[in-house]
Amino acid sequence: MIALGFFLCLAGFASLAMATTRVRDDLCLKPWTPYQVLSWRTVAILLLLLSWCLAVQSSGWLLGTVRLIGTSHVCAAMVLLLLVPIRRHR
Amino acid sequence: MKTQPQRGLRQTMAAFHTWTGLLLSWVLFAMFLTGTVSYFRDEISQWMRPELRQAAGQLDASVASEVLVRQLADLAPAASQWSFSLPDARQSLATVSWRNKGQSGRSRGNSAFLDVQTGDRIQPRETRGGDFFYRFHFEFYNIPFPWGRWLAGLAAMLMLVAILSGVITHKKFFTDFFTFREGKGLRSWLDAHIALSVFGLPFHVMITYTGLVTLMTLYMPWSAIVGIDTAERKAQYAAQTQGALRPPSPSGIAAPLTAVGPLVRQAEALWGVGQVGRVTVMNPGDSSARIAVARSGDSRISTSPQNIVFDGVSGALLQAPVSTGAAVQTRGIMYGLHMGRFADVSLRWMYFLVSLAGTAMVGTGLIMWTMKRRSKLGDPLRPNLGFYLVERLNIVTMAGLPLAMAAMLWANRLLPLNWGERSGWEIRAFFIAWALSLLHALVRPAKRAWSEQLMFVAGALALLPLASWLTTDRPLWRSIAARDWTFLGVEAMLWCFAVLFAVLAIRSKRVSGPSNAPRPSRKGAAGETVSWTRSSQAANQ
Repeated sequence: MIALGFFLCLAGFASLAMATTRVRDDLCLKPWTPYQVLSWRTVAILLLLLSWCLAVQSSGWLLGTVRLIGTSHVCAAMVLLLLVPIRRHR
Repeated sequence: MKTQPQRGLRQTMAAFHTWTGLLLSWVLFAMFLTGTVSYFRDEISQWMRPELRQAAGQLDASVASEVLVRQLADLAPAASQWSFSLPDARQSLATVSWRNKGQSGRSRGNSAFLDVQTGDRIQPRETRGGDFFYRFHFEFYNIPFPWGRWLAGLAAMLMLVAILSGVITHKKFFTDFFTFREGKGLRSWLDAHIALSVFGLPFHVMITYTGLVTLMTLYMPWSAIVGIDTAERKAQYAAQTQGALRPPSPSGIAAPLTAVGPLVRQAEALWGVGQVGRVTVMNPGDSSARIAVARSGDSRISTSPQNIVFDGVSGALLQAPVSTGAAVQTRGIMYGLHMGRFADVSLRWMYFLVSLAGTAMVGTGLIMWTMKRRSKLGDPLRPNLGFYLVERLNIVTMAGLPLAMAAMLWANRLLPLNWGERSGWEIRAFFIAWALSLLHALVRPAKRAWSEQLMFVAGALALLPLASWLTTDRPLWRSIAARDWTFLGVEAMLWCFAVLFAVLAIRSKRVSGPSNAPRPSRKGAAGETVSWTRSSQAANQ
């Protein structure tokens, strides 16, 4: 459950990164339409909410929320670090 | 008359952020780094006491309590109080302590490590272990009470101000959320500083604010002075916040102590199996004996103490856990969030990593301060006193402190086991290494001081497992074979940090800085000075 929550959180932050102009440029993708940006953000929020639900289910409201915040810090940093070699080889 | 253009909120906050961030940032860096390693305080303590073996398995808490009470009766038969913590997932040995008659506080030497499986007393080397880093984190060392704690509070307050002003200053909060531009000088440092700050922002705010809450009665004692005025209220306050127990006066009539095991089982029936953390026996062997069973903090965030008190002769329940008010609960949760004692292995690692990011956030901020100002120096080889001081203090803090910590671990392995004041000499090794780092930073050019000290730290950390192999009977392969995750984890982390410091040393050597560069000519102005200026401009845009 914890591992699944972690991967959902990671996917959520990856989706959030995809919604930003700078990451899209780094990946040499076509400009997103406003609808596509909204879709990426919606997916990201849903994934993060799902990750929160799993954390709360496994550890309770208080501990689960603490776990989600800790997970989100690590996942956001992981997405940033994954983008570094992509930018380097662009 | 020329009027100065009015500065906006962001510019004002930027200046505020810079100076509040700088003022005590060296203290903050030390607090953050020692606090970060303190999340593995138990593990570091175990590594520093290699004589303590992992127990083969864990006994039931009630059986273990019976064994420990029997051992304490042998160790300290005349004591007025016995106390022991039960083994848990992080500490497979029990720690017992006792208080002699007429003694009010804790006394060093009145404690022992016991293996509950065998009942053997294990005498490890004398060391403060990870507790030194933990205490240093909020009261430093040899600073009379309460001034060390006041300094820590002031630094934490400035940190909170720097965080909030930093958030206001950072205008592209969401646009730059996943941005790190590599190899762009000051811009890269700024990106790193922002990333380290923004990703861990809730944690940084939480840890700083709750850090202040942990010592709130020291910083703001007035409400307690006014509201908690009678002896009864003071006792109630101490019981609710610290779990302080009031031992009854001994009657002087001898009476056998009741079996502790059933009382522990009663507590487990209330809190759950494995939830008993500590047992205290007051006035053992006297008809006024009391036995207090305290709940462990492993599975709950709040550190508000929960005790059940039994009659030590009849075993009758005297006092159920005290119900605490909302204010005490809030304080307990904030305290618990700061300490992270409730965290399991994965959450503890998250605490460690994000706290390490906080340390790096302070460090990158300090580096940026010097980088920005270096480009504005008239002659980078002859900086003004302020710049010189900041630059040297940066080296002494960011390279010197890890060096001092490594020196303490080396002293732990190299000092003879029967050396008098052994733990004191470990601490002296820490400060001697730190003083040598200061001396080195003062006599060497800054760039060389950086790379040399960082490389020295890398070497000191990388060789520590080797020292452990040569001086103890717990080499790395034996830890692997025995699946001793504590030893394995600490030594693996030492190598990880050694690699990190080696990379930093190599990179700091590669960066061509004005410290070693020949004096820039008027024409060439030494490409580096120009590039510093450019990157500063880029960062200011």
